[in-house]
Amino acid sequence: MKAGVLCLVYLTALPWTSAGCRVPEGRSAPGTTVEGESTPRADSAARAGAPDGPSRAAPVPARLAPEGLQSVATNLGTFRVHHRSDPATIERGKPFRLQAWITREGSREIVPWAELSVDADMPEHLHGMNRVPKVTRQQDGSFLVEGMLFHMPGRWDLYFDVHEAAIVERAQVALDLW
Amino acid sequence: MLLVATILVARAVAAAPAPSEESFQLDERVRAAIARLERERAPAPDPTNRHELDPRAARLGQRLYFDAGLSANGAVSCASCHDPAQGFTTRDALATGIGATARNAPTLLDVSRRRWFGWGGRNDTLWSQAIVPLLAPHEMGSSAADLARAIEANPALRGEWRELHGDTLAAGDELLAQAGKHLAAYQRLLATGPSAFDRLAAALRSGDAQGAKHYPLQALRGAALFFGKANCRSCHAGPEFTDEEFHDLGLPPVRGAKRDEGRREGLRQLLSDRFRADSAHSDAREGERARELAHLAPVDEDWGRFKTPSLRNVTRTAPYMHTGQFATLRDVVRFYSTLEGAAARGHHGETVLQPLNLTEPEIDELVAFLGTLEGDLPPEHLLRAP
Repeated sequence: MKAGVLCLVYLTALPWTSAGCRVPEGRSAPGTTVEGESTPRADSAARAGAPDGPSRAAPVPARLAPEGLQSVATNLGTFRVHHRSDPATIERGKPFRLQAWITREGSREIVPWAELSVDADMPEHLHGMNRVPKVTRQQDGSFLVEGMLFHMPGRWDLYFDVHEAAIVERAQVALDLW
Repeated sequence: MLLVATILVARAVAAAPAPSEESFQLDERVRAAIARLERERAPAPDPTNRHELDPRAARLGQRLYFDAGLSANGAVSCASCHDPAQGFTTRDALATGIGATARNAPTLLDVSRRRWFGWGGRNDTLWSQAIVPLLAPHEMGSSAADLARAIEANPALRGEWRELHGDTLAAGDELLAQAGKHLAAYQRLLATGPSAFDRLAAALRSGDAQGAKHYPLQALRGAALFFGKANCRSCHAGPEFTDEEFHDLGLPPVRGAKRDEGRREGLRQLLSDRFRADSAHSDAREGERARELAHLAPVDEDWGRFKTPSLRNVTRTAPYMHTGQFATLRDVVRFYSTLEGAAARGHHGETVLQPLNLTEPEIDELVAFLGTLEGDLPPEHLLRAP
């Protein structure tokens, strides 16, 4: 672990792509930031979902989440979020991005219709980030989360909220930053 | 008999080793926290300002900085509120330009290391910030047309401007952007040198026990508080002693003034600023600073938040806080000790501040520690008009 940082270290460098997809008209959740739009939410989290394609009727072929990533189960155990950061080590005061894949617990198949919102806060301070992250779904089925920055030292809780139809389940990761 | 016993006890006490100053040791966690605070040698370049590293632009900026002819009344220059002789700020609680302003003038020492500019962070680049006081009615009250006239009227200024930009003088916002970029090129040079704290940190990193002993003991105790019990580093984090973000301390407004919106207003101004990092006047419209704008949005908690100032050179920049309401560093530390007078924050407010309940010696130790964050001033030739 790099000196000066006590935190989650992600295992794999990211082959980041800028490829995104469009949310079918009318499907944008409140606050969704989709490539091509520029209005961020005024509240704390950003959310994106809905794969490429003309409609929900066109099934997306099963794709697998990469192996060897950090992963965390949602609190009710329905989903697992596989994730990594760029840079691999999250440092206080430095912007970073995340890439995340959502599978059902016990499976490596990406859940095709799941949506993701991401947020973080400092539970000991009762505040969160001063940035609004933007989440966009990528063509490989992953989610790219941009605009993350943890500005203070101390404990941060990083939240992955997985949305599937009416179900919302949270997976959370605690980090301790210097 | 009683007298003898008393004398013997008194001798014994005198002979016993008192709690020795020499025996004070930082605990391992604090020692490690200090050792990792290694300052970058130079501030990161700002690609939105292509003139930033050009010495000719810096000289031109220095000339602008000290020129009162740029102001509407011919009496106010940048140096009026950011006086080199007073740590590039003033001793006034609230800065006064052409008229009275509502905030304390922040220091410009090491200003190019900052992420946001102004107490509410209304600017995302140093050059765009430099335009603000030029135009603000209560500061210099100028305009692009006034600026053009002032340049034409000053042969030295006109000559140097021509050298950089050719014979035709730009107009309007383009001229203002050029002026801001020159001022920023000069202000980038207002860097301070290593402090006693930096020498302590370097000694701890290298295991130089002798070097660490040069650090004053009272300040060392203050460092133990700063990084330990008092947890000042929670906001004054990293080698710049700031998290570069915004917090609400609950400071009451100056008597009779309305509550300052702080970051709420600053963010609104930033998002509508025609000189921001992704504007037509930026030299890196798609760079990192420009991209960051997409992730900023007002939230209710921004109300009353102000930028965490760096503590480097803080001994040079009294009075303190965004309204200059504390005359001395002791006053500031005492406020954090008791939070006396702090307004109750809403139930959405952050809870990072709790009364520290410091003793008087502990307050002295923290003040002594802050004194060791003072570095050498920029060279003399930068402290006056060229």
